[in-house]
Amino acid sequence: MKWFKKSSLDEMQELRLLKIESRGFWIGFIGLFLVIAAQIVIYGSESTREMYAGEFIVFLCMGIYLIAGCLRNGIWDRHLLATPAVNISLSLLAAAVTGLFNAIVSYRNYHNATTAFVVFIVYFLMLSAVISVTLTVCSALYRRRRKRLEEEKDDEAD
Amino acid sequence: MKNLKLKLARMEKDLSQTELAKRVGVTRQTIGMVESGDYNPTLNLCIQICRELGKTLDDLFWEDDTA
Repeated sequence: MKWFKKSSLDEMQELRLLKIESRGFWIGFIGLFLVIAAQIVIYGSESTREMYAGEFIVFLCMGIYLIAGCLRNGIWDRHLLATPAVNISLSLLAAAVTGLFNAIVSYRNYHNATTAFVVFIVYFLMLSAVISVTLTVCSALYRRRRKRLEEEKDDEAD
Repeated sequence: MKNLKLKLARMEKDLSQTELAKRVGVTRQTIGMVESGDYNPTLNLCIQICRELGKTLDDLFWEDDTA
C-alpha cells in the first residue's frame, strides 16, 4: 500500500493550503501572545515565569523563524517601510503599549499608582531602546540582504 | 473576469471540466475556477490547457482592451 505521494495537490490547492497554513500560523502566534498576557493578568502577583515558559518558548521560536525567514529572503513587510522614522515610531508605540500593560498589572497587584507609573516609565524607556535597536539592526540586515539579492548575476550574465 | 474563451474551446472539443482536468493533471475545481475567473493559473498550466485544447495562449488567455 502506497502511503506517500510527492504531492497530491494541484497548483490551486497548493496555494489554498499555503493560505490556510499561513492563517493557522498567525492564529497560533497571536493566540500564544494572548494566552501569555492573559496568564499574567489572571494570576497577578502569583504569576511566575515558569507558568508560561512553554508558551513563551514556542512564541519566541515562531517569531525568530519568521524574522530569520524574511531577512534571509530580503523581505521586510507588505505595508511598512524599513526607515528609521517608521522603526522609531513602532518602537515607541510597542513600548507604550507594553509599558501600559505592565503598569495596569502592577496597579492591579499592588494598588499603588506611583509604583504603576514608575513601572510604565521603566518599561517604556527600556523597551523603546531595545526595540528600536533591534529594528534598526534588522532593517540594516534586510537592506544588505536585499542589495545582495538584487546584485546576484543571472544565468545569462557574462 | 470569466474566461468564456476557455469554456467555449473546451465545449468545442466536447470535453467536460472533469475530463480536461484529468488530462492536464489538476482537479475539476481548478478548471472551474479558471473558467469563472476566480483563479489565475500558472503559465505552465495555461500551456498544458492550450495543448489539450489545440489552441494558443493568445486564443485562450489574451484579453483585448476592446473586448
